[in-house]
Amino acid sequence: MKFLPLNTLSPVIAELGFSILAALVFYAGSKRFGTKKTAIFFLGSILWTGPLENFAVLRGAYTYYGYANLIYPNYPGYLTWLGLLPFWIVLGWFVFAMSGFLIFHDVLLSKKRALYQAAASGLFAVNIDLMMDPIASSNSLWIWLTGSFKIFGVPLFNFVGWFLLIFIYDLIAQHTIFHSKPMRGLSGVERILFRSSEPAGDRVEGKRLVFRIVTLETVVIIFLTILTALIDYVAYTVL
Amino acid sequence: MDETLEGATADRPKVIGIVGAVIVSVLFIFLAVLAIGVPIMTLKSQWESAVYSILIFLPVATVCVLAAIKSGKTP
Repeated sequence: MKFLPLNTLSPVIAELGFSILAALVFYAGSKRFGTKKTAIFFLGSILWTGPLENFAVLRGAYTYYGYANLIYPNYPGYLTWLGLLPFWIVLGWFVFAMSGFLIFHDVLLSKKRALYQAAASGLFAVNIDLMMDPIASSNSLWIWLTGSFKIFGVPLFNFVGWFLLIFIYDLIAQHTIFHSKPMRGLSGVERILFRSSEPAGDRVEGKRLVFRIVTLETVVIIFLTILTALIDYVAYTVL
Repeated sequence: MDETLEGATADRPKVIGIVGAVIVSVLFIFLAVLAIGVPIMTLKSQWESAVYSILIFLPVATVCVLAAIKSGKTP
């Protein structure tokens, strides 16, 4: 595996660029849905992606310390962090999740079912990552450490992960933040925990949102762990 | 269109702005990162990397342009 010479501009552009993008998208979202709901969407996206990404880093799938000590000694490479995760990564998830939500729910597929809108948003995000991930990892903005089966230097499970993260968060947002609807599969548990399977009124129920995020996040982590093993088994043993 | 998104009619120009911001955003990432480091890992040359990036970028750009056109046409 070859890496390009490190360029100190790369992490600066990434961090500054995504901060500006997130501010733009937040502004757009607040114009469309109101500041409160956009802020909840933003905080939800942090809770949705932060633990999952940190878990993947802890498992040794990849690292964000490619630029550590490069600008000056003991500088971790990026200015702001969320655990083992640079904060601009979280901002990136928010940018893609909110952009996809606006484009597909509001404009392109406004008359389709939420499931199709979320799926389109997920595919849109995978398309963006197919362009961004090989370039970013070539520049060591993050470094893939896993020996899992790769395409263009990027593990195949990563693209499945991108689809699932955007697809499911889109559904959570649609059913909990922008609407108050029951989510299939969680209704039974929610009836016990919250005494009803669906949120009451137009208010965003914080506890229900956190419950849905944490539960589905756990499901995604388990699913991706199994899928990765399956992909590697097929790629390295069967093929 | 569902109830929550009914206010979209008045906000269409804003949506165009949003979509425009997305296009600019993606272009920004694409150009900035590509300009810093090519070729992409596993690809042999700068040219291959450029062709790959442009081909992969086309669907994203198409979606953004379609969204901009549709949000402009919808009253």
